Amino acid sequence: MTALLVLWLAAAAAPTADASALATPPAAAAKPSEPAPTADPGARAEQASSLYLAGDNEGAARAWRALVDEGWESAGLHFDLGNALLRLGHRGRAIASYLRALRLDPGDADAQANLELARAQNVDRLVGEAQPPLHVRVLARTPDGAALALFGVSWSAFWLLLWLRGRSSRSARHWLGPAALLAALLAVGGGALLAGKSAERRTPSAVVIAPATPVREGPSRTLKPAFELHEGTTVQVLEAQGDVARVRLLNGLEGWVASADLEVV
Amino acid sequence: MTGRATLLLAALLLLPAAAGAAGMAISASLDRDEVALDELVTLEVRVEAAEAPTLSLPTLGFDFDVVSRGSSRSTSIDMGGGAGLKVRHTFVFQFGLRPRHTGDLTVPAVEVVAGAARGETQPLSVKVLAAGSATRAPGRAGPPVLGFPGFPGFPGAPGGAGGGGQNGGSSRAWHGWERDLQLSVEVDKTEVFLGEQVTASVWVLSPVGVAETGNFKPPAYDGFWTEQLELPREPIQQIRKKDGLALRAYLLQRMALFPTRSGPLELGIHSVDLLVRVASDDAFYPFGDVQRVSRSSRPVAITVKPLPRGAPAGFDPVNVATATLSASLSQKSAAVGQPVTLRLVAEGEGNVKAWSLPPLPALAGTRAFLPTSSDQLAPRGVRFAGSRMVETVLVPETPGPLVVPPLSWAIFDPRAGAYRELKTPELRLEVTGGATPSGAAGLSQNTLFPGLRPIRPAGPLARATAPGTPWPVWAFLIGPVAAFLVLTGVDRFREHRVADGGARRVRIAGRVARKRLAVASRLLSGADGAPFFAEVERALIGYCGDKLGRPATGLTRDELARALAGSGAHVTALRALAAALDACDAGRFGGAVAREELLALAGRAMAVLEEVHWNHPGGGA
Repeated sequence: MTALLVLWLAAAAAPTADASALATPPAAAAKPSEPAPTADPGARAEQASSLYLAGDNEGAARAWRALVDEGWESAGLHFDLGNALLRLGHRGRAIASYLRALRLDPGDADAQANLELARAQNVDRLVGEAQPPLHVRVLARTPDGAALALFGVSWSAFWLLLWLRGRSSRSARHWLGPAALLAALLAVGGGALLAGKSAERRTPSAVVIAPATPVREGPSRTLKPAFELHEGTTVQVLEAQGDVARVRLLNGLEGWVASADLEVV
Repeated sequence: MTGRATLLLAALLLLPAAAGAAGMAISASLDRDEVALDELVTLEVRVEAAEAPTLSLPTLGFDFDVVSRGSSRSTSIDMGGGAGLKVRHTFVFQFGLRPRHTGDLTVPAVEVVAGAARGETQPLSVKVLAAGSATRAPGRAGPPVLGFPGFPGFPGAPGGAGGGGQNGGSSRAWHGWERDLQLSVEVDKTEVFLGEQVTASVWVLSPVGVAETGNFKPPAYDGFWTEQLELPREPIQQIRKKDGLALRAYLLQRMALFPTRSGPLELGIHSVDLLVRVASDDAFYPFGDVQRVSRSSRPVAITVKPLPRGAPAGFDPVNVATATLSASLSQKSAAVGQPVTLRLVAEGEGNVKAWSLPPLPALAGTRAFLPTSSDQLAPRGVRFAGSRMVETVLVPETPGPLVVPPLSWAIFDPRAGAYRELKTPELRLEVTGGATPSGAAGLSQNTLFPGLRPIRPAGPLARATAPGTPWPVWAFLIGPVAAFLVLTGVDRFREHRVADGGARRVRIAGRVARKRLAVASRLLSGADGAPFFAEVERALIGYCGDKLGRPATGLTRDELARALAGSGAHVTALRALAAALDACDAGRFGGAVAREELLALAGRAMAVLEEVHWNHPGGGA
């Protein structure tokens, strides 16, 4: 079991390739190690909030975006930026911001509500869109840190319990064995979550930010568009080639769109 | 000619035809010799043969339409006459024939083939009168059906319709049920307006029980828009009386038909295969029989009148209905940019799916999306009915009152036979002010989003991980495993040391003692002699303890000597040890012994002790 888990998680730990080729999210532009140009990012976020409350949505969006570009993040920051972008009419970018907030805090009811509000104006109505299966919903509701923690703690506990069992008395072994088994099961569960998260990273979600973008059956722009996507529609990025990306809709339809018309979540 | 005479005539016609081969007997009969153009005559062909025969009705010179077919088979075993066992199969075929024209018609000879045997019936004559003429009804004699015995007026009842035994002939010859078994298409109207509903019901009328229906083939309904009203999974049975005879009526299908063109139209022929349960008329075979028959309906003519003149402007001929029209807005007030839904609902009887509701005119200051339509079908009994709803999303772009003018829908009401114009009331929507551009920036669209949850403190900010950064899964994977291996290794090492501790101490006892003597020699010249003497005694007692496998400190000299002797030490060694220890005590407490001399005694004692073959605890030196 251990060997399988190791192989599985080794695959999960592999760095993502396709997503990096389509590095359009703002956070991707800046290296997290770069120091902030000015002091306290918290104070700058508060200043941006003041601008927003004063009605200067563009100024607020610019300030929040600068923080995000410098590599700072929190669910609240993405949420606030989403609100400003939504008020500015950048619905696609706002949806991407709300999705980032939800990625950091899947239980964020405010972000979920505003996301639904923004999506309510989507032009595209996907035919045949199915309810995501249970494991996908569990994956979406689990933060990355929680998945890592679950795996790390249960995996460590498993080996610790094994070690204790080896040096404990016969009576203690009776409960240490089942406890180690439970820890192993939790480790498998955590590993599955990590593998799922890793798969998500390899095929990241993206949001259409252009008012309309043609979808073609191949990467060549000379091909006749098969259909059109509109702002706010969420897609999965399967691969990127140059300035085009192959995407899949939630109902399974696939095609190639211009990368510039997408913002990766 | 009475009915009895008719049946006698039929009996006379039951003359055996000349069979083309030995072993086959063929006879044919008609159930009547006179028939009206709109009536049926039944041709029965009876064949006695060893194998199942096939019949071919002539096509040339055949002045009849075959509207039904049926067949049955019976087997009799004759054991009399000293001729041994004789098995006879009798096959009976019935054809329901509808004459094509009046006059004296002839049913030509019917060819019968059974294996190698071949034969044909003799031609039969029948007089065909004009449609609607009174003809002699064929006799009914105690129909052998699975009916309701004792139920007056129902087949099978003594004294019921037709009366048992009235023909005086054998009941075996009576097959009236075949004639009365019909597929009937009933319409509620034969003259309708264009687009008006005609309800057509397809019934099986049968004097015998119908066990199963299948292979139902409706016509193409050319010239009609069809909607299903009823299609029972199991035939629905009713009891009906027709010409004084109680019949079972099974509903196969009920349709709503909407003519799509005016003029004479026809509902074509429906057909169905049936399995009927027929009672046995054989006293020695009381069980019923199941027979397969097929039936076809007659075409039904329908006259479709065009819609009358004087249609109002904008009338669409598909809007033939008895209906109402209503309109509503999803809310009474909205902000600029907030979508509002206008619902237009037409409800009533008619061809709901074809209705064309009035379009929404362009509304100033409002953006309208393409309307969507949905139907709710709810037939009312035999009338096709329901509602059609058209929804249009409106997005007001300017503040102020938004007025949706009355919408007019012209229909033709077939019940009243007149056109009607339905109107919706005027609808008003209060549009509140739109967003104001942010003064300082002047760049924002600042679109209002009612229900948008407000911003909140960004909370503690953290450094984002760059996309593509691998998770520290390897550390998570390897760390606990490495810790486990290290801890287990340490445990094993300690266990090994504990397990090997005694022997090791015995093995290195001499080395340890000499190290201590070396330390003592370094203390030789010290001003204070106590450390020197203590180190010499520790070297000797420690050596003894290691060899004994237990602490030797605290033992008296005698106890130490006995323990050492028990472990293999010889007398010489014991004496050398005792001399050295005595000298050590003397030096420590009296100071009479020279330190160099004590060191030499201790060295000698160690040398002798190391020559001993120790047997406890390690067993080796």
